[in-house]
Amino acid sequence: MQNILFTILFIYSIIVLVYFLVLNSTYLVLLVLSTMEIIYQKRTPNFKICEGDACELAPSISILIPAYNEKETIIESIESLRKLDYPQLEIIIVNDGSTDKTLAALKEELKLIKTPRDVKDEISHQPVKSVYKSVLDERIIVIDKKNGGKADALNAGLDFARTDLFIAVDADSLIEKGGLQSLVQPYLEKDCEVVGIGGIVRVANNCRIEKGEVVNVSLPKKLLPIIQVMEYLRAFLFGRAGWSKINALPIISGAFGLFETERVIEIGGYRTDTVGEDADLILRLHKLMRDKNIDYEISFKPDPVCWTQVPESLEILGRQRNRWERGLIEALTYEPKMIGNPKYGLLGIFSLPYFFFFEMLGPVVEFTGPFIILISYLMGWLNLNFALLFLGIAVFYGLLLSIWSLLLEEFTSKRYEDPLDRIKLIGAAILENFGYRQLHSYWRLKGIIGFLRKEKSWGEMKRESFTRPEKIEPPNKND
Amino acid sequence: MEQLLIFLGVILLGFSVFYIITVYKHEKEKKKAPVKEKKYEKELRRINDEKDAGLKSEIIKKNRKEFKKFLTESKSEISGNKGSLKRIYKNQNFLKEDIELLEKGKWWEKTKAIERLKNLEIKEAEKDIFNLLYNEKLDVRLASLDYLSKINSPLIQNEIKNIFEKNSAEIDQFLLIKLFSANLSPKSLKTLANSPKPRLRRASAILLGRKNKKENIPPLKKLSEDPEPNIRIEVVRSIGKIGLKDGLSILTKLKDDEKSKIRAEVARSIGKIEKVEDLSLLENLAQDEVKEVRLEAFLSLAKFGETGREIIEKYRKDYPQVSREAMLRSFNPEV
Repeated sequence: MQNILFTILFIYSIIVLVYFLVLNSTYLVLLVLSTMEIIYQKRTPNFKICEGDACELAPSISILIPAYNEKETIIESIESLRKLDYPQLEIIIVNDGSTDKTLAALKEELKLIKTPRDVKDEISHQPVKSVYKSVLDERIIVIDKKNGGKADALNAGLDFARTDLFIAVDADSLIEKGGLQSLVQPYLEKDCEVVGIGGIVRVANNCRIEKGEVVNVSLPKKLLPIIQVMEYLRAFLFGRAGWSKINALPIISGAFGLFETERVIEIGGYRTDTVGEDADLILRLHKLMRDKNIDYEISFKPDPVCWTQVPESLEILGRQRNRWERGLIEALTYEPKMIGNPKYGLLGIFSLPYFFFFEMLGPVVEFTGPFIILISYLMGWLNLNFALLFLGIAVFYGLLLSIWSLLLEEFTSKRYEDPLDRIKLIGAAILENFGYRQLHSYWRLKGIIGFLRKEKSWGEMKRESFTRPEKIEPPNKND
Repeated sequence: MEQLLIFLGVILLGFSVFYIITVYKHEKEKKKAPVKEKKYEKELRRINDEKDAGLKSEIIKKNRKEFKKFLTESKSEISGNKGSLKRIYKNQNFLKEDIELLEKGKWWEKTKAIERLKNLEIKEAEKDIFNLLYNEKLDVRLASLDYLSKINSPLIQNEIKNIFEKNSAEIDQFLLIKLFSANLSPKSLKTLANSPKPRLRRASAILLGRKNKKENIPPLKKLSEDPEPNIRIEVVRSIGKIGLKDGLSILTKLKDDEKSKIRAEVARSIGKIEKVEDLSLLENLAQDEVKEVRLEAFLSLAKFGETGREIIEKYRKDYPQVSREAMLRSFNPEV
């Protein structure tokens, strides 16, 4: 019996060692790629999209806001979006059968009237009850439909959109002024078809927000959101910039991604039977373009910023990460033939296997690791010195990546001006190794179990208003 | 293993030191920036006031790169007077440096030089930048076009067809936006309009749509007979953008187009034309079999005051929702 256990543990430790080596080698490659991408982006000229009458030729953008029981945040969110200085803009709010007074609030604040405009019926979604238009701002459309979930609401909005591009934003997110101009640049300036562009999502907790704009950036006060700031910086500046360099970006944040409307309609819009509709959409777009053999790109841009509120409690954060994990597994398992397939270029042979083995299955190794160490220790098979060194290397390597991300932040869209905030971020990068990472692995492991149990719930996310909204005024003629 | 840990530790230490130095440097620069800007502003004024833009300046000599940036990013209070800035830029040999970069610099140095010259609208580099219009690096090509459009260079008037042909269709929208600002003559767009390639004909239809340009209407008339619907629709849009009654005959011809999107666009464009007296064309479209066309016709009718409202009222019972929206729009034209 002891021999069998020893053999199992021995094989397991070999797997962990290989896992560790491959993972960190990938990180090293990503580190180089992301640095190259950030340097390239810094060197690329920043053209003003248009001036004067030429702005009528700018690509048109629809902003889709799915709203389910969002009466607390929706008006403020719209107020912020109306301030975006983009010339060809349409704001489509989809009331997804809210049971609170979301629609009533929209009707009152936006002075809605029914409009005979129809959805195009190019994508399937739950029936639309009515389409409204704002008397205060003709760019605003409200679609009232039967409840069908976030992806279904997005599909209804997409079915109505008549623009070149669309962006889906959450009701608790704020796009920074100038963000759309910057985000649209790759679509205009690349020598190939750009089907999707992702910007950077940053944490808005504890930032001062006035009239829908972030006016003062500061780190959250609690440790949990500070750790998430560090996570977001790593994920975007280090991860996404790196994958984007080789056109193998498999994820664009659902909170801030710009897509070609026609292509998304071509793939039938968002999949409604998944909780990871954003990751799934990107994979299907990659698949469409590669299958059609069209020269294309899915880009990441590090300067346009979207601010979002992150969970401040372990319970809500746990639910979010559980859902993210399930979403990732669903996206990868819906398109399994893409993983490791050279037909899909570096995405198929490099990026997707990484996401499959390290992002999707990583929690299994990370969570079971401490237990195996404990068993080995109790059985007297553990070389404590080796284990401590191993742990030390893992922590050091993680820290190295965090500091590199902070460096990339210094050279790109630096937002944290206070030096103390930067010290806090380094502190968070150290502290997250002791407790948070293990908890994170546990949440994701729960996500894997949830996926196996075919769980589809989003879990309740508490949303809070950024500030108290002001009453919406008609647009100024000089605007 | 231990060696690896030590190795990683050393790298981590190196990264941390580098990070701390970077943060320190950035903080120092941030603190110094207002003082420096004040100093540069003072120096700029001194040179400008003494009417000797070529004056030797120790401050410029020591901070050449920063001063150049300061000059071209319009941070100076005398930035309103571009003539002065240009004179100083040239006489301090910054222009010469930029022209050298255009010839020998790396691609990003070229684009940065073009950007500076564009900001100050310095035309002396026009030919050098024109030579970069077909550079192998796309960013350089785009920056060159951006500059040439900004200074309204006559050199691009005869190059329009080449510009489109030597670039891929993926960047058409960028080219169109930039060329639209360049006040192109109908003559320079003739080669595009006569091209056998639909992509180029479409581009000419778009570029002809400039406000109040009566001379652009005849070439649009020819393009309105194009077999490609996506060219005809651009013709209609351009007529609306020109906004002159002279274009109405083209719209009248296209009001019966087989494509409902074109008919809807006709309805929308009529609403953009000033002083239209006969609204029968819109009334006709207001009864179109396609809802989208009717909606656009009603919304355009809303722009013609009392006469438009009378027609809307006439069809209120047939189309209650659309007439309500049009009436609201009519009484709140700024909406």
